[in-house]
Amino acid sequence: MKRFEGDVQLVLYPFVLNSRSEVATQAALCAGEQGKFWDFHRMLYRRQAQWNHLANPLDQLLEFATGIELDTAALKSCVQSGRMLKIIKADQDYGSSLQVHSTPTLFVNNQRIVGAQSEVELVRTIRQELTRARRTSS
Amino acid sequence: MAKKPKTREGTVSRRQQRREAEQKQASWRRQRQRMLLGGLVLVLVVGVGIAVRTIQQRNIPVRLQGAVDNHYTKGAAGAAVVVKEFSDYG
Repeated sequence: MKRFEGDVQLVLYPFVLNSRSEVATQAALCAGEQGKFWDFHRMLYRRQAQWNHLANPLDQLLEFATGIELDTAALKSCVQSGRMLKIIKADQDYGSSLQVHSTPTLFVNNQRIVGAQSEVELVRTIRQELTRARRTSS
Repeated sequence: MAKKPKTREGTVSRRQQRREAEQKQASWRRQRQRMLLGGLVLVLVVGVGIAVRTIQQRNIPVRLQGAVDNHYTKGAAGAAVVVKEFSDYG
């Protein structure tokens, strides 16, 4: 992202595929209410192996949350209220309308990329789109 | 004393040789057919794979691109290139 600063915007759509990731996504969005979405997001990936096999990972995630100085009581209450489920459902509906069936799926402007890509491939696609966008605007 | 049927033996041997050669040829033909069939199946599988990939990667209509409200973003707002990432934590 840094190399395309000013030219590219990344928009993240957490796309829930199972109950564990639903809890994790809710927790991430709740962490966002405390201004720590990206910290929590990074932590979820970094410590994925420690929580994604648990039937209910909330307790484990709350423990991790202390490490990034989150108010865990507020976080727990937010997740348990289920108020983030509406956003999650909306994203799922939006993803379905774009025929997203698996993750990761990226859209570089209108170009769909399904599955994990190497950085080189992704950079090439972004460059192509940048060139196209510049050509269109000039 | 009976004479040895040398000529006959020679004939049978040649027949056998011919039969063996024919069998070899037939076996080679069968092998070639199998290889051809395998090749065709391989081409078909690769073709289907490429087709599926192309369908998945095809461009989508602009009308389906939604707003970025209520979503976490990085980079410049209103940038020339918008990358929408759908990813799962689990």
